[in-house]
Amino acid sequence: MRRDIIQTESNASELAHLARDRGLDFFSPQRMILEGWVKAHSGMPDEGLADMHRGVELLPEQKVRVFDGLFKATLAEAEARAGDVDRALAVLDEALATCERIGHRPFESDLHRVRGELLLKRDPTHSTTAEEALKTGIAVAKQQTTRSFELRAALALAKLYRSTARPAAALAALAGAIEGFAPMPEMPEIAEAQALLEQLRATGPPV
Amino acid sequence: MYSKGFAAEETKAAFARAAELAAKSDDFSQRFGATHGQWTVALVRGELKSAREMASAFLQEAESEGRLVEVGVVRRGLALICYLVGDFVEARTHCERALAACDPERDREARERFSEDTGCTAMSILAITSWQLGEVERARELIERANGRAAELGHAPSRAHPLQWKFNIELLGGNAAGALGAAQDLAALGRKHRMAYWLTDAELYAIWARCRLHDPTASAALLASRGARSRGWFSKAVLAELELETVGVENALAHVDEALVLAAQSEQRCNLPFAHLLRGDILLKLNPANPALVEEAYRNAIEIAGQQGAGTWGLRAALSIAKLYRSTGRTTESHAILAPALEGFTPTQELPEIAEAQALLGLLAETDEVKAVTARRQQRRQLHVAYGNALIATRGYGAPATTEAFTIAHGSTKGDAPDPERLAADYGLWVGSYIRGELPSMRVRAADFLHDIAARPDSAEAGVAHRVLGISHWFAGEYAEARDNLERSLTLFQPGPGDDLAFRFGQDAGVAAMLWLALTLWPMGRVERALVLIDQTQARIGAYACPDSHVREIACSAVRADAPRYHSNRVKRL
Repeated sequence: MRRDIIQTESNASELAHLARDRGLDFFSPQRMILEGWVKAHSGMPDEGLADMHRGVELLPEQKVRVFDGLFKATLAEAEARAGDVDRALAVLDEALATCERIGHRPFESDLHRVRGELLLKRDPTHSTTAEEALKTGIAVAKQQTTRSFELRAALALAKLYRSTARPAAALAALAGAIEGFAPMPEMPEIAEAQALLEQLRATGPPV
Repeated sequence: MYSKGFAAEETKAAFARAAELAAKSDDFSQRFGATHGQWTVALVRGELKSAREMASAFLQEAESEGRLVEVGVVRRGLALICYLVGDFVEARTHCERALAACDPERDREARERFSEDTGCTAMSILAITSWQLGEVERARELIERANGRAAELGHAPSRAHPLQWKFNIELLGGNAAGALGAAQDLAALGRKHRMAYWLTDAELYAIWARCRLHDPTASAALLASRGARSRGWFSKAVLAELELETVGVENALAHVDEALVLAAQSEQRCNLPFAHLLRGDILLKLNPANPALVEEAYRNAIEIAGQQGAGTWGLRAALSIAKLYRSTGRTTESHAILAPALEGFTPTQELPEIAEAQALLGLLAETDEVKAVTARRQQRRQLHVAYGNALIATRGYGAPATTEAFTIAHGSTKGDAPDPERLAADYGLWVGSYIRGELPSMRVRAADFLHDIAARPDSAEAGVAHRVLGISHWFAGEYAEARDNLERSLTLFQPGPGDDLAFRFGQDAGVAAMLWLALTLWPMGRVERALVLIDQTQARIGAYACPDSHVREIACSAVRADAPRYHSNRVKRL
């Protein structure tokens, strides 16, 4: 959830040992996804993506639906990072459909945020659909009171506005979302949002 | 309708002609008004299947046209029809949906067009339906609210249904004074506004109530001569009940048998368990030495109540048969039939039979025979829970075999006080739903778990129940509710005494409470607290490995639900 590669690598390794040593097969797909994600971010994208896909496919075979949104958001990010944005978007669409179908919504906001970022990545010149997705992510986060997800989506939206020469909109998107957060190494998005906010205030019209 | 009566031939003919004329019209309102009249007439005449078909067809049409007022009107009609045929679950759904869609401003105009206020009527039918379903306190609250709301509206026809259903609730609950009050209010309303239909009913209701209160014999005769000839099987059964206490058992038996013959020809099945139960009571009084026929009558009542989900009648019938069994030395059968019927009820003045049944169940539970049967059942339950836990490790949390084992374990607890195995089965069933992503079932299981531990709200097991409910909310993206329950779960966790919970509830209760709270708080922006909780979680996990590696072994075997290894490791540690 924090996208912390180092910590995930250590935890995935421990989970792998525990699952193997104690015969906890139930955790194998989760282990594959976590290990695959670490590999995909450590110079082994093909191997990592293969592991992640295998893990994601094994979960429904085990009739497991929990954490579907989180796993698919990270898989989509890994796919996009490896260059296949269309495949990444297909994974997200499937995850959002699952949200609707079974009502599993804890990662719904983040799914919209990742979708918005990837839509923008696919076509930076047509940002309307990306903007819509990010706004949906913010609306869902507000409704669910998930301020961390709201901040992430607001940061992505503010970057989009800045890149399309809309600094006032960027400022407005970010100002409320950052309120109450203090920078900390465990959530680098806070410092990034504060820095962007300062830049916007310094260069933009008086608010 | 109000001068000649709902079921009068003139009324039926007028609506039939109106429907005929309206059928040619494109105006939805005209067609609706005529059809509404037609199914209302069919309903009052007891032609319930036909009324249900007409109303269901129009519900579809009204919904597809987006006619919210008409949808409410059809739903209140369908609710009544479903109530009368004994389909209480469907009746409740229609009432609740009609009430949810109520809008006082919008419904004001509809009151004149469709005779009465949808909210008042739907709430009244929901009250009587709730009474049947065993929710007697909810019934009381609803019927009082419905009458209060109807009085505030000052719209005479809208007051009739709430008063009628109030009378019915008092009648079924055996409260003659309350029934007389409702009957007199309804009679006054009928007289003042010349509503012949309601006036006739109200006068009969008042006779019954006075009969109960003051002059049984004379009033029973009056009731027989005035009303029961023409008022259907239920009135005959009510008359039989009065006669059982007044003119004699033979008359009562004749009338209840007559009521049952008429009931077999009728489409109305609500209160049918009452007629069978009454027949059992009459037969018992007539010939106490021959309990076989009495038992058959009571069993009929239980069976019908079960089909209808009519928990109140189910309890009354179970109490009667339990007393019969006890009087003939069949103690374990008495306990076995009473315990499940009592489940879900808490004593209330609205239904004194609950306290009576609880007292009897307590006496039965103290007998050696019942103790032996309960112990055997508990042993079987322990085996199924252990088997379910073993299947979690081998087949997975969500496997059908795992769920089946916990379902059997849970089913075998029916009627017994919630014990550790039942709570473990609650958890096992919930975790299967959770893993499979079945949100509605997850919510139901979580509520069951919390209900089963309601008597010990501050126990460590209650902490697990709150965790289960919290995770269910998290699953649905309801973070605030998830946080509240997970905080409560963590508060209730006690290191040391709570350590053994891991074996019954899948994982260490402290680890799970902290971890899930962290997982919930981080997205909510409470990043620092989430990180502290993660550190505390890791410290607790570490404690399993240090200073004694056997503790970790215990934790692992508990997570795997590996009972032999778990116990052997605990022995090693000790």
